[in-house]
Amino acid sequence: MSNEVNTTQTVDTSEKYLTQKDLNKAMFRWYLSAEMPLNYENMQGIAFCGSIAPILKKLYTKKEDLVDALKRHLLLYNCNITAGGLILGTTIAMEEQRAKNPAEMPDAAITGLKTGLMGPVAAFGDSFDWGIIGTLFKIAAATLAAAGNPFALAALLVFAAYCIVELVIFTNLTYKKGRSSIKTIMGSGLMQDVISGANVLAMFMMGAMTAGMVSLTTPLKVAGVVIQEKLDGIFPGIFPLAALFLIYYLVRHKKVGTGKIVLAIIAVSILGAFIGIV
Amino acid sequence: MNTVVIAIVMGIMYWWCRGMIFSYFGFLFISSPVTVGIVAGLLMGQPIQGLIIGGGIALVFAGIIAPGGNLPTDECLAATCVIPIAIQSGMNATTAIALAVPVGLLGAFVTNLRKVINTYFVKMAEDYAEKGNTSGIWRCATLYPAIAAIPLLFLPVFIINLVGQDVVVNVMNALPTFVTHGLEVAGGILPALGFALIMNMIGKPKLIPYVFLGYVIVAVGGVNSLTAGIVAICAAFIYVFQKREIVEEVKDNE
Repeated sequence: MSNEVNTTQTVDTSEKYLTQKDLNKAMFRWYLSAEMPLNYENMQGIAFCGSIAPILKKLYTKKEDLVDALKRHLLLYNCNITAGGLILGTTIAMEEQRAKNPAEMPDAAITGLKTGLMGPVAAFGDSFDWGIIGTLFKIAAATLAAAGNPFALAALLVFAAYCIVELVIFTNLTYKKGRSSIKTIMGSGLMQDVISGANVLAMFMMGAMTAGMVSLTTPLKVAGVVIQEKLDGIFPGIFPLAALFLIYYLVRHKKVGTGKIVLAIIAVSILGAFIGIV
Repeated sequence: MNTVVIAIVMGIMYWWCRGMIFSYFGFLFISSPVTVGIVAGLLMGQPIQGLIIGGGIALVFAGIIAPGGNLPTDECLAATCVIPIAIQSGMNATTAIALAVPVGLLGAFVTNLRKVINTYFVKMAEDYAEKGNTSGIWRCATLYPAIAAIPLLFLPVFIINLVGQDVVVNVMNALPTFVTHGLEVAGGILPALGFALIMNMIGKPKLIPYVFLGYVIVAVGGVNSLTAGIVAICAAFIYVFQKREIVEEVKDNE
């Protein structure tokens, strides 16, 4: 096992300048600050630079080297924060290598890796962590809360913890195993299986949640017959499901903005209440 | 409890979550209407009512994620502005939801403005970098944006909480019944928007039969959401295993 690890390492352990403590500090700083200085010019650039600044200071003893390194990491950077641990770990490993042997690791390689990977890693993090896992936890929390159950908070905390664990694992892994590990992680078959399984789970729950959480009924009566009762006899709660698919159609095929749909729902509801059909 | 204290706490919560302090902890936990609801509820002696309203608001916003940091609508602004007022005036959850959603739309404006203001710190950080001053850069990443966010994020929520209640109560009382009933109806429909956004984000129209399956098992089968979750997990496993088997069979045949 230890042999296997050694062969995949791009950096020789015996000559590492950095300790686990340095790495932990960088992760903590990154998690604390990542989006605080978010801006239109370099997005999370200040935070990225600030987070690894102590490491750069330790690696580059000559002032001009340090200044170059700091400027390099003030360039535009924008990624999912915790999945971005993949880039954080790799960047730190590359900087360490550059500190030892600048010729072997040109600065363009470091900047290139950061800017080249931030898109795909963000896409993975935003869609998988936030889109699927995060959404499921948020919905679980909201459902519990709507029923008056304080365990809702626990559901949110579990997801917050999941994100931190992801950051720690990804940063450590990529720092220790080097550049090539990003591709291995993101392209693995297991990851694809988890994603498609989670997609099925999420879609199933959207239907289940619609039945439980969306309410739309009509008080209409025609010749003494309560319409809603008749409809429920055919297909219970057909209106919520119809509303779901109408909105889905508008979002997906007509590309109507969220704001417009919200206003339309409110306007139609008030109009419906005025006529007396809802 | 005192309205001023509640206004301060709500202001701090909004400043924390959209100032993005401790990134996803702020972004996910502090900003959730569930958390805001329970905090506001505890301050006002009605934690469960706060939780119920917060949960209702959170459901509508559940499908909204922020790809690339762009927030189309802001659940935390909605929650911090509406929940205390809703509890105080005894509003029901569905009306609170309908009121919260338009408020959330204003949040996108505030977050964009913050990103404009923060560009000032880029120049500052570059100057510190030139001097090799690492702690200066760190201050540009944390302390200064947090301070700059106080007037932008804390103040509006604080003020709305101070004066909003009377305004909202008066307006709600002045509205004809069909409008308030219409708002309740809208509050009942709005969660469907959240779910539709999630379905769109997953982007797999061929999985739509699973939506029907989920719907039928709850609407017709009448099972609770935990049971529905177990069935959903089973469906997910069946899907993945079937897919794997097919892939392996294809490989064997080759």
